[in-house]
Amino acid sequence: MVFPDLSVPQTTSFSKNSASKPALASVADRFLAFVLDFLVFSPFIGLLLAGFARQAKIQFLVKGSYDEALGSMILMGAVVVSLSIALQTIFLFYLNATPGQLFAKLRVVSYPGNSSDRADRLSLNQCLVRSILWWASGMALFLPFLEILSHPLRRTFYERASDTLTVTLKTIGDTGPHPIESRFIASWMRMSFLLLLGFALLGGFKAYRSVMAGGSRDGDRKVASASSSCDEKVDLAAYKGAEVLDISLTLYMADAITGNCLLEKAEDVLWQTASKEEEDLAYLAKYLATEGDKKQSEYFQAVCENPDADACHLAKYMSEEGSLENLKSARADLMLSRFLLADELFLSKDYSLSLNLLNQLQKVSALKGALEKKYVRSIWGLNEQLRSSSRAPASTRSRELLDAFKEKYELP
Amino acid sequence: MILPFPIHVKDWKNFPFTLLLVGLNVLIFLFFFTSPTVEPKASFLESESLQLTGRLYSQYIDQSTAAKKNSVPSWVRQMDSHQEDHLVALGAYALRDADFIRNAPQYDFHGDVVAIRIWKKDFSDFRFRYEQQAIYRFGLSSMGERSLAWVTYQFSHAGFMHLFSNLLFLFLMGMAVESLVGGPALLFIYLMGGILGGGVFLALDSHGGIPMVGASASVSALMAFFCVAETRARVRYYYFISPVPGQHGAIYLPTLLIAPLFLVSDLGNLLSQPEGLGGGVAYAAHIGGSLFGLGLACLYRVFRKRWMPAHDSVDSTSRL
Repeated sequence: MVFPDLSVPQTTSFSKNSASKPALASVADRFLAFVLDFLVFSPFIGLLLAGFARQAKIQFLVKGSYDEALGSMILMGAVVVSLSIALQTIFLFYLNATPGQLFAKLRVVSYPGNSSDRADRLSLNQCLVRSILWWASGMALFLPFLEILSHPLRRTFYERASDTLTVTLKTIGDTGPHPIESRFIASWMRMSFLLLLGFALLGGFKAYRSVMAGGSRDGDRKVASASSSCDEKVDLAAYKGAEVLDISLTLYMADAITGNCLLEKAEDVLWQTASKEEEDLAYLAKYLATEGDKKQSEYFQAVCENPDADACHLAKYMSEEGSLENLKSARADLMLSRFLLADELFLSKDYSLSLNLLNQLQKVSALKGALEKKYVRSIWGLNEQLRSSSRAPASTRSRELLDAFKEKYELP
Repeated sequence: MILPFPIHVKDWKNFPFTLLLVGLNVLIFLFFFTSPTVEPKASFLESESLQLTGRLYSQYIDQSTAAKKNSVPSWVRQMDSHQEDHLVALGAYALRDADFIRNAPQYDFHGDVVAIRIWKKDFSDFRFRYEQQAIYRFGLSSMGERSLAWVTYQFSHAGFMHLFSNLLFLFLMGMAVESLVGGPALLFIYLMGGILGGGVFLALDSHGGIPMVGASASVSALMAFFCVAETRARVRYYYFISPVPGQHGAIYLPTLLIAPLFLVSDLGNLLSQPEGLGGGVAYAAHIGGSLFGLGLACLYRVFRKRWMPAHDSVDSTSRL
């Protein structure tokens, strides 16, 4: 079997070859036919895919999975291409033209012709090859279509491969491109192909490297999202009820978590069924972390709906007019109360008592690391205090605290 | 670029009813839709606010009757109120639910009382400002209580491009229909097509709070009527690829092709949208208008000779 050499452009004009045959289709008519084909085919293909598209949108909305959405899009693309190839093939086989070509008075004929009694009619093979390669050309960013501008017979790659030619039924046909125009467009097309190939190779190489580096973009997104979440910074899974908010508030006051993280914890409580104590602490969290005076004032009112609640005493203490009395009115077993009291004691230079409270709090594993700075600060204060009053004997408790610190940090 | 450009465009002065309809649309747009109004606060539609709306809507649905639960789209029932992006989607849908919009200000939500109080105030303000908009006053929605909206929506447009695209087709199709059946019949098809289009829209979106405006249902009725009444006609289209000779000109497309393509396209778009999440185009209204136009055109073809014995089937290319 002898295959035609596709690389050699056919330079003999069609009209010269056979004067009785119709003239070449012009570029404008072919473009118009393409637009009309799109207008005719797209509603039908759209209707056939409507149910699938709807389901894919719902799945994406409900599951939010980019992988599944990408998979659906690829599948839909494949169905569109397959349907389009099927429709093109059927129209070409029976009518020698697609609907757009019919309206633009164009026909696709066999070229250089065959000896069968079907004359210019296309075989099913020709129709199928032409339709498949038409889409392949489209996938190469439609660059092969530029051959319509450069080839002497306006034959593109898919036409040469399928032994077809697009002709017009109009009385005046196209004369084909000027040789200079033809050479210019052909070389421009080759250059574009090389660039495209270069980009494709580069993209492929990058994708390969990212896959080898361990993870798709989606994976990276998930990691980024997880690392920015509140739970990543503080694990409170072991705690329950009001304790979670008590610890969160303490961590927030110790600058160990952000305001958004505290708000997240408060939201979790407020939008679920929670005890009154939990609600009070959640409103306190909102009061502390919400921005805007008006909102803060509303949350203050919500915290102090019950003026005897511990959360209300703490809110009052932390408000501008707050006093130590407010802090002392709050229950002492709350971690936040103890933390605030430890701070007050540090400020009043009662380092020993401050350290006692911090030591108690550091027994809660979630607070251990977050309170370390406060602990070291109080130790340093205690040490300075002892050094400045070197003539007075240090209390046993103070010595114990310093020794514990030295032991902890393996100091001589 | 390819646009319909019938030959009889130059005789536009001979089509007073078409011009009347076009003029009414333009006047209503200029008088009511270009005057400055109080815009609803954009912050209410931001992600954080939509999350809260979604949270409250989730409670509203959970505590609703079984009938209400069944009336919301299946994807709404599948949403997880613990996921932020789901809450945003729920919030966006909630603002389209007419029942929720009506009842939310009085509803007893539970949760963050401060956030709920602020949300209710913002929501009432949003609703008040929204109801001041011309699109709400003239549009057709299941929330509207004005029966005149069935007509006024057909002459109202949300923006200049919306007006331009509808009027282009109204102008071209109006002239074609007016030349075929006369001005009063044109008005009848326009108004009834719009009313039936609106009916189909409301039937398929009975809980929607977003009003519909535009002449597209009426124009669809006109287009479908003409394409079926004159199946042998060919409409002249003008195409423009470049100013080079041979790359612009006229092409004639059969009317019988145009109506089914529009109908199929609208049907495809309607079916591909998840329920309650329309993309801003009322495809259901287009379909309603088109079906009315198709039905009327079939009747016209059957009774044409009896009603108008003098009427001869038109040589289509000369008409358009």
